[in-house]
Amino acid sequence: MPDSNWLEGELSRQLAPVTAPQSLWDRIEAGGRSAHRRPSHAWVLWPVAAALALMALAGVWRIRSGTAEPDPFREQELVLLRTPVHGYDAHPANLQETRAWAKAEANIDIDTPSGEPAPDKGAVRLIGARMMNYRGLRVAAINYRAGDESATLFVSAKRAGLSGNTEISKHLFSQIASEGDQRIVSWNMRNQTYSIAWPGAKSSRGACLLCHASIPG
Amino acid sequence: MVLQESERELIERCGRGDPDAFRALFEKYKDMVYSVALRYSGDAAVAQDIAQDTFLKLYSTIGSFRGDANFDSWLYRLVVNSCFDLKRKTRRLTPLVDEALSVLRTPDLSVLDEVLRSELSAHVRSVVDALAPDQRMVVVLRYTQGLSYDEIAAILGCAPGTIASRLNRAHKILARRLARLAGAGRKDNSRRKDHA
Repeated sequence: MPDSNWLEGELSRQLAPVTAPQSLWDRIEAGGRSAHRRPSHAWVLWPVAAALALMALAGVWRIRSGTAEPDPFREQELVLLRTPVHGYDAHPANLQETRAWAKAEANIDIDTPSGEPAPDKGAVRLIGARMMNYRGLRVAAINYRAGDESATLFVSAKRAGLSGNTEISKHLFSQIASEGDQRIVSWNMRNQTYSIAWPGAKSSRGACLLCHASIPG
Repeated sequence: MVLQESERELIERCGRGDPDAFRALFEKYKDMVYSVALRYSGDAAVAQDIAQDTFLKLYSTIGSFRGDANFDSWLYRLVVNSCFDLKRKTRRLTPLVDEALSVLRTPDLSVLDEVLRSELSAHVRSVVDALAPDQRMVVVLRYTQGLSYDEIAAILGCAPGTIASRLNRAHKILARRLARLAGAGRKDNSRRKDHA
């Protein structure tokens, strides 16, 4: 048997602390989606199904008890909602008019960054705005173009119990997703869910220019 | 441990959703979280999953952290729970390849010495990986983070005597399984000293 000094020394050496990789922050900023998904196997399907059934039951129970955490927006639905079928409810000339319209229609606040210069009016062209009912929740959808890109900002009415909610204008993306050729980023701020959807993966941050004076780093 | 004023302020700002404060806390604690995750899981990809999960939990639940509590212990509990939640899915393959390549790149020691050392490392880690999760976590907190029995007990929510007992059992298992390598390891260490 090895002596305890050898064992403890070897354990200290082999289990020594390490430095976290630089990519860790990018993964965290990108939200809860793992960059290291592994292929699933058929034999794990039944426990997954059982877990989903339990989660569904838990969800029903939580809704019934009035403490349900709101669902995030679903990417596929947001993509479908991007293209207006029946035209727009409003054609605001600028962001200020858009904010006033959303407030008047559904008491939705569209918060803009504090302490930043106003966005360049020439950088973004507003196309139109719609007020929608999204799974029982009022949501403002603002279509706009930033350069050659078209994008849609979705802002929900206030709701309680959002995870990762922030009370300040600076925000951290809680979700970044792709749906077909669409990219979507979401975050929760002041009890409202914000999502931006745009097509294609290149120059995506141009979509931020609706509210930001420059593309955030 | 009493929180330093600057850290208390950081935690409060993070609780209000300030992303800059979150980033500062991440920078301060990333190595600690990642080290525990890596040494527990034995797999760099799984460790990143665990670390990511831990920091996202931190961001979403830090509002519930009580200022008079020990933040380190609270964060350790988050990473420990993430480790226990995330089951290991694949065996570690890439690090072994990396180790083999590093042998070929090392010019100052003989290849035989390096192969022996590499084999020893791989065996120690595989034996640690084979421990039961509660024993493995105690070993990691003890040898990766250098925590005392009392600190580990506070993190895992059990008595210090339970920690001592788990560590004792883990030592016996490790000693038994590493018996064959102990002689080679000591010989390898003396070779390295001679070489130096």
